[in-house]
Amino acid sequence: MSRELPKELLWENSHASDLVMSAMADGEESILSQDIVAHVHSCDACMMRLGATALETRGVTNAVQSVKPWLPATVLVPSKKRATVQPIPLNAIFAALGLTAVGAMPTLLALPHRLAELALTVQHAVPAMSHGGVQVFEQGIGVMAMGVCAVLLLGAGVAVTRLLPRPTTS
Amino acid sequence: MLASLSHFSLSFAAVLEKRKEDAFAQEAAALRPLVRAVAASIMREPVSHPDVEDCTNETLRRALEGSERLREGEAIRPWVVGIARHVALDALRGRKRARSRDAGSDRNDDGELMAPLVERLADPGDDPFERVAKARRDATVREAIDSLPDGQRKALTMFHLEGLGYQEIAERLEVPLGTVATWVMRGRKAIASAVEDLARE
Repeated sequence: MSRELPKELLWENSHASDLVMSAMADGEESILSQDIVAHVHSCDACMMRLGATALETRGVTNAVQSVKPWLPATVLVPSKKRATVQPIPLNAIFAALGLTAVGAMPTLLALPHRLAELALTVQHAVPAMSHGGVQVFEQGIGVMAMGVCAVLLLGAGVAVTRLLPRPTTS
Repeated sequence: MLASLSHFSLSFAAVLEKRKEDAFAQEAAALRPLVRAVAASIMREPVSHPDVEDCTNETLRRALEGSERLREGEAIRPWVVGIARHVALDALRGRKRARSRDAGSDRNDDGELMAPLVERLADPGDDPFERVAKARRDATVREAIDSLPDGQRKALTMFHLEGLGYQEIAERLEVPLGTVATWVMRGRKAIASAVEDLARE
């Protein structure tokens, strides 16, 4: 498909055609040849017409946009480009990542030492806790503790459902 | 450390803001010929007239200084054309006052109505009469859009409401570029003509 308007549509009695005026008022100079754009810029009569067309275009844009909510759905063609896709701000993202890395540097440097400490703690704590648990169950305290916990949970549940205000739908 | 980081982020934000302003300034400067054309058309003067040049510079100055008033997603072109219209009309009124002739009148030196379409398509205010006029105008515009041939209606709504360019419309409707240009122009003329007819009643 051609990216420029055919030359026969551009000129009318040695001046730019209405089609050219309309395209220029719409900011579509890229579909016009350079010589016709240059002519319009240097011709008083064409510039006057361009100004009038730009005003008419603006007026019609406002008029059409003001009736947009009432336009039937069939008139509004589904858009592939409803909103222009914003470019990803890569510079800002990399700058933020860089700053985060600098801020986290002390913590990252101390990480191996901290992991070793954590492993040592786990190594000591797990046998002690499992030994204590075994002793509690052996003495029959475990079953009673479970019962108390279950009652407490049920009570808390009932209290929460009864006392809290119900959400309103309006 | 914290101070230098905050200084860095502030400078970074300033650089981004500056780039945004530069891009806007570039886009506004590219509209200079169109602004000059609008001013010349309203003032009925050749584009080389000093008053037209003054209006053009004033319009671009106001656009650059008031760029933050441009709403998110609003197109720059019609916004700048609107500023040019205000500036040129102000200049025209100032000129009339200076000549002490036809004070308060909207007629030019030849006794003709000045830029009638500009006034008829002017932005409505909160005045009740204007609201009634706007309701009538909206109905007229709706009728005009409904009565357009299918291709013109689609091209016009794609251009004015969806913000698509001629090339994209041509690809979507699978028609030549010249056809899209013609549809947009004819559709717009039909709506402008319907609004003009309403104003004549």
